[in-house]
Amino acid sequence: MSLNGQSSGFGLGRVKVQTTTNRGLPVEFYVDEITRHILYISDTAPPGIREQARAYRENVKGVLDAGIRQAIQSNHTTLIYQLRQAGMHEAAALVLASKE
Amino acid sequence: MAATAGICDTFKQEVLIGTHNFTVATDSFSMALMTSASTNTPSTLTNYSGIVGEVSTSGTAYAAKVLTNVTPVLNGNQGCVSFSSPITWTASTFTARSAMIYNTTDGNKAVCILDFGGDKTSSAGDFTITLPAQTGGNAIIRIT
Repeated sequence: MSLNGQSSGFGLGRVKVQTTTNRGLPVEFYVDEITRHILYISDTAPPGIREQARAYRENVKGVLDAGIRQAIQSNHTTLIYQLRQAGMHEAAALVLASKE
Repeated sequence: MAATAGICDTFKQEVLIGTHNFTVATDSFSMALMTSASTNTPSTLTNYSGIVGEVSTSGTAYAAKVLTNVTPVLNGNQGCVSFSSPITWTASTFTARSAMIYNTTDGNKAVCILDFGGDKTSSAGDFTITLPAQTGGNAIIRIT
């Protein structure tokens, strides 16, 4: 639709769907998605600002990656305790052996 | 056959009379998943009660997800709506082709139908939907 030469109307964005089999998504997926929500770099930004923003984005990704992995490990600690309390020592060992 | 993507026709009128408020902590919106058997279209789907071919919600494991509002912004000349994402159905096993967003605060009125471009299947894993950035030309719902 055009009002006084300016187009107008409703628009619908595209969603991205990712699925997994026999596991969850890797930490890297969440690091990328969270970073994208924190920091959007416009294609029309001046080159110098774009470069600074990209460098900042890499720093943010590093902080998020470390933080998410620590949070997962901390949650594993809770899970392992609860599984051991319930007498499920094999399950606790499986969680303990998992890398993320 | 699959649902047709688009902003629901009734939403276009309802948003003009203030039915839907996407501001944080106001109206609550949910997302339900549909299989390729759905025949819903933006012109006929007015309410969640009219959903066809919803992914089986037995045991509620795959039931609709409550979305977390992000207050709409003006980006350029476009009003942009978004929600927190990713939206994940964990430890799930199902196939979905499309999704519907609806307003649970106001009688489950339909907002839009989203198409995944094909069947997407999770198997004892995560089914994750990522919404686009809340910017002009990208946001999940935009008004120009």
